[in-house]
Amino acid sequence: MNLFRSKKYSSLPDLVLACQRQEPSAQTAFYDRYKSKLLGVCVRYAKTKAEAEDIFQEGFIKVFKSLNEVRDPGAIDSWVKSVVIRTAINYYNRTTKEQQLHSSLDNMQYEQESDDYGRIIDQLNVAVLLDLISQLPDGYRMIINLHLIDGYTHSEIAQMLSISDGTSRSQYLRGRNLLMKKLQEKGITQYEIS
Amino acid sequence: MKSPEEKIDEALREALKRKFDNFESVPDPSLSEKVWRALNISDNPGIIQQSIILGLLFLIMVTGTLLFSSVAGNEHDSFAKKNKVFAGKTNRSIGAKPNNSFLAKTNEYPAEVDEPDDMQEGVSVPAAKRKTAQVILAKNHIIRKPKVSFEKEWKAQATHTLITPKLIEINTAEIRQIENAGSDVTGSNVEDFVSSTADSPAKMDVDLLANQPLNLPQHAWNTDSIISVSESKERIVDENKNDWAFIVSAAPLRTFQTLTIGHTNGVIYQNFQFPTSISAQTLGYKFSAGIEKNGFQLLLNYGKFRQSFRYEIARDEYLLQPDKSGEYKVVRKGTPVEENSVSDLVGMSLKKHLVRKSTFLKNYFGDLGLEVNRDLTSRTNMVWINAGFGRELFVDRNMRITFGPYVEYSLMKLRNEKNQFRVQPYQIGLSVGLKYLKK
Repeated sequence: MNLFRSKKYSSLPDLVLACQRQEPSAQTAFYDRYKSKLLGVCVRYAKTKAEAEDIFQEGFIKVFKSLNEVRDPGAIDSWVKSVVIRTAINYYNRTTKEQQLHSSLDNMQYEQESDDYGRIIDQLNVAVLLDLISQLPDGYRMIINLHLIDGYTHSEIAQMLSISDGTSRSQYLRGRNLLMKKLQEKGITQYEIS
Repeated sequence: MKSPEEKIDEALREALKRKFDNFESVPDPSLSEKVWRALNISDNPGIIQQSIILGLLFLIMVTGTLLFSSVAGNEHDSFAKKNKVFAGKTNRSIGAKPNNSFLAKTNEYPAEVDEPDDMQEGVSVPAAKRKTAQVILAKNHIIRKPKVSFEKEWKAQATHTLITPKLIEINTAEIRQIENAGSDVTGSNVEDFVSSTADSPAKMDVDLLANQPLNLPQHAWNTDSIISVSESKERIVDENKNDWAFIVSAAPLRTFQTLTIGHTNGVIYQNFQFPTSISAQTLGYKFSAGIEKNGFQLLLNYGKFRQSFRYEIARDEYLLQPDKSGEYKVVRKGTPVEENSVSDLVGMSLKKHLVRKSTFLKNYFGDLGLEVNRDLTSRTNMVWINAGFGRELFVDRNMRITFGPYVEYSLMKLRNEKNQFRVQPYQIGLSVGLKYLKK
């Protein structure tokens, strides 16, 4: 007897199909499945925790409203993530004023070996690393997240941000260099403390 | 050969992926409420499910109660209607009350027979009719006194209180018998007598009748020919509504539970499993004893039930496992935990007990009650609502057996000290009880 008990969904496609049928228990299970993961994505793209929660809320509403458009329930994980990332991009397109981006870092001299950046990142606490990324200007932060962490190509990023491929590449380089500078500073600080 | 730029990109990408690929952040519970509110979806669909089912149960109880009372009312009304129709017929003939029409009718004949007191009470023959009948009888002396006095007959028939319309047919038939017996009275005269009596005694042509030499044979009314609708004497009628009754009952119960997880402090619980089949883990029981008066029951209860479920505390380890369709999916590993607890409940309940006694759903009952008890295990107080319906069977005049489905729902949640879980139990089972009526 399953009276009063929420259903168990044997597979992810079953869960998605149940959500498409607007079954409340399935929607709850769906939310529970993705909530932590997606808030983690939102935190990376957002400047503050409050903004991350705004993006998360807006993203989930979009996910549920657009779920009926999903034709391949097996690929739902990547679809949900892409919806939330697009929500984050739209959020900053709406709220961010045009920022003066730094160009003086174009000719930055690398004081560290490439492996050192990886080591610094490994040593840093996630919260500290998130703090570093959040300090980047919105445009840089978006592209760093999209290209370095979420694996989008520059052509995809250009399409998503409605910019040219070249603009995407140049902004990425600037953003990456700024991040490396911050990592260097953080690495030295960490080194001095330890 | 990779350029230095590419090497840096790759180093950064790998390091950042290691950090963020499995990065999760637990959202505040209020966020889900905001999402559901925006989507017009309830935060807890289980509550809707429970509300619907409880509402249905309540509706069934209310409908049952209304049905019981309305059918009982209809039966009373239909009985009254029958009596009214019967009274209409008999009043036209003799003006007597329905259930004593026979007495009234037969009473017309023995003018000189003393009427027993009880009969006089039951018969209300209008004075005009009496006078008319007496005039007829005085003039003609047409009817002799029956061999068996009516009083004796009345006493013999004392238990037969209801007389059907068939009685009238019998009387008419007997008059026809008289007619056929070769009396001097013509059929039309008898018919006239009957019909004129039936229509209105005041219209009876007294002179005409007075001149008719009516010589009916002596006829002893055969009381056996009276058909009564009274039921078998074996039938036990529940007339003990206001008596005290002692009740004992037992109920095996299947226990269900709603689990609510409070603030988890970042701990992720997953893969909850509840026992699905009826087993020792899900079976509880309940004993009750108490008294009943005027349909209200006050009971002392003792019950026991188990709560059992399994879950996992999520770890930061993942497995790639094939699902049923053969596709690989990432499964988060967890530390399995099993919760088992037993609740011993002692308490008191107040119930309204309604019993159906009419033909339709005869002797079916419905119960609705409120129970307060204490869980001796967790030292907490609980409040339950309970409902039941079923059948009452008569063992003898004082003893009855009751049985039927029973459901109870806790309005309170049991807290688990070890974690943030709160469990709200509800139970469904079969209740069997004995009721002893004290007279």
